[in-house]
Amino acid sequence: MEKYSIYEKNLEVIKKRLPPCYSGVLEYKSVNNENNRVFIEESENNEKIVAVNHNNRIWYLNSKYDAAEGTKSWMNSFESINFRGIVIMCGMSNLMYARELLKKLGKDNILIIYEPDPDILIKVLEEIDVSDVLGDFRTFLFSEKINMTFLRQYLRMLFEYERINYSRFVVLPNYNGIYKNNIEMFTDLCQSEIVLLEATNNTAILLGEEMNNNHIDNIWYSIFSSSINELKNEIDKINIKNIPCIIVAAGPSLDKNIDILKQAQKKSLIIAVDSAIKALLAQDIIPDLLVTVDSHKPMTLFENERILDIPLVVCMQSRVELLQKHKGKQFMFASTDYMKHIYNHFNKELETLSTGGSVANNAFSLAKFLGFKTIILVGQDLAFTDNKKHVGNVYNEKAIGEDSSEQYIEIEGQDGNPILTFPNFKLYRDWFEAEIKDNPEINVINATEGGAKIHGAEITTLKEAIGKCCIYDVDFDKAIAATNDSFSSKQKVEFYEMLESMTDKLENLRKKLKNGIRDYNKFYELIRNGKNHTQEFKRVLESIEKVNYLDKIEPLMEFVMMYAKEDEHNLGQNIYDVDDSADIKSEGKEIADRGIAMLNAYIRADEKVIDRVNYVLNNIVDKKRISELHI
Amino acid sequence: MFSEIKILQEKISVIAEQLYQNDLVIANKGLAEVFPEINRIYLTFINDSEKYSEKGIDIPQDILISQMKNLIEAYESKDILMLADTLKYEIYNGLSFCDDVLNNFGK
Repeated sequence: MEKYSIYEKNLEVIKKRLPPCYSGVLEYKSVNNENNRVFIEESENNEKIVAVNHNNRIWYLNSKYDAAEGTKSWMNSFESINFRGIVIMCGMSNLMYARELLKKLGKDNILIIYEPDPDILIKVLEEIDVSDVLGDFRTFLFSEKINMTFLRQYLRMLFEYERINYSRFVVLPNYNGIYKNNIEMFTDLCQSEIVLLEATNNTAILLGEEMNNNHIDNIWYSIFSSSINELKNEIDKINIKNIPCIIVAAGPSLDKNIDILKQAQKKSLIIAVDSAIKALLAQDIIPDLLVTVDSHKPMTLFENERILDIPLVVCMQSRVELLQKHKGKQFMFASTDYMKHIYNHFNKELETLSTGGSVANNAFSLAKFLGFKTIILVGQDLAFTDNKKHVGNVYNEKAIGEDSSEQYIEIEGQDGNPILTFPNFKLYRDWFEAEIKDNPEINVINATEGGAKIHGAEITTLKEAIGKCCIYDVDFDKAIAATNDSFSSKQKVEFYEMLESMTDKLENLRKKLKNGIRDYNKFYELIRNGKNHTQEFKRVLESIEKVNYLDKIEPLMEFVMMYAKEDEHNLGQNIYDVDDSADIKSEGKEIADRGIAMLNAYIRADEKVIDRVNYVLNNIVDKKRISELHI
Repeated sequence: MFSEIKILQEKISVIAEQLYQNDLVIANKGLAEVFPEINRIYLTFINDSEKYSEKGIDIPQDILISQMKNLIEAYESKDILMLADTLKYEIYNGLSFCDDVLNNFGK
């Protein structure tokens, strides 16, 4: 009875806080009744500790004599943890380590626990009350065979660029001895997410202004667009169980088999990425959907008039000039919190399309979201097949070898031999491989006929893939044409009014940022005068905290922060560093100086957002369209 | 041997702490140093057990041998917690016993 109640109590907590973990536990338990390998024992001083039978030997995951004392020693290895730091803990043991660590962490810290052995998780849930640790809002728990499918999703949500430098990776005692391979794989996975985050941040620094301009300009077009959620509603009406989705990228191998692609028309959903469209149209192949994401895609790609009627899948950073002249359906996906906020405001959902940095990754995520169980990749070289980077007639670019070879790396080619590529192409490939691993129900066929090997994908020729998978006739044109706009006429008017009132809100935001500067000055003044234990100091701290959390409550801060990205970068990545050895006055001055510098950058950025919104209202908005909606 | 045992106990405490902190690399260096010392002291006591017995002091040979076995097993299997536990809660106490015996014998 006691065991039951402990289990129920623990389960109740993870049901609320970690739903994928909850369903994973129930599912795992339903097929794994026998758990004789892991058991809970008592230490010499009557604490519940975990033991594992591994290779015919019993391993304890806590001290057998005094688990609390062992944990205390372990905690001594922790120096101060930055207030925004993330701790990634390999192993849960009896969660005593996590409990102690949480006592030391602040409210902005995050604790990610990875448990390689699902039987340990189950046994602990059954026999030890760990509801306090799992119920803590800072704790996130992942375990093999339980909820690892959701790990990347969570990591993308939890990892923020500013936090990377303050991440700590720890392995609990004896886990390396028993679960070395799992821990290595988990470490690699975290590392690849960090690399991806760094790459995304670098892109934001380099192209932040351009991306933000497009974001603001595209608000007008998004009022009248549809979404991939609406598209899915229509595609769900078609039985696509035996219909494949073909993703056409612009790798050099596309020249080899592009003509065969015609045979797949009306027997599959063909999604083209922007760079491949010229080559496809040259063969009179019209894809069902065209995906474009990059804010700086050359407009020369879209010169062909036929493109203007092809249904477009876009995000807020896509090139505004294309959206401006495009006449066909436009399907939005979420790439910014602002658009999610708008859709939520109208009680609608807007799906995000996960990416590894390439538009082809977005296209793959779209196919997955639409429910396709067979995805065929074409022109997805991700490496330099025949010393070329892209399919012919797309870009006027040099062959490899004419650039500096230092920028290339070697990866495994489809034929098993090494092949050269760009480091970012490898990131895109790694992303595909992780997706294939995480989605075993999707059959991914790589019909590129060259380039890099994508591990986990079936390799075949396009001819064979079409012969095997493109059997049934299907017409997606009607479904696409039948898709509704995201917003009703009334909602469109309201959305437009929100756009019109943005400048007032941004003015208001600027006032708050200016008040933040006043508070930082006051903060330092009080420290300098030794008044840092007064009620006034407490009030100032609370006020500063509110300004620092503006991005969590004010959707427009996203635009401001994007324009300030470069300033933020120039201010240094150590903006959240706190020097423990500094005296309180100099530390206070440093904190105030950094805070003020950042807020000044935000104020400048806020002014830029206002200018851009005014530009949209004066140059892009077609008021006639709005007045027609009133009728 | 009195001060030798005290110094050894101090070293053992530090190594156990490092092991609980999962720092096998650093702990290994210390282990290489203390292993022969523990072995020598324990062997001395086990070999001299008859001599002590004549004086009315009972040396629990089986316990000392079992502690040494635990230490070797933990080391060979790289069981970091067993190593730490054995050092901190077995060997340390075993050495305290040896220290007491030497004190009493001296008197």
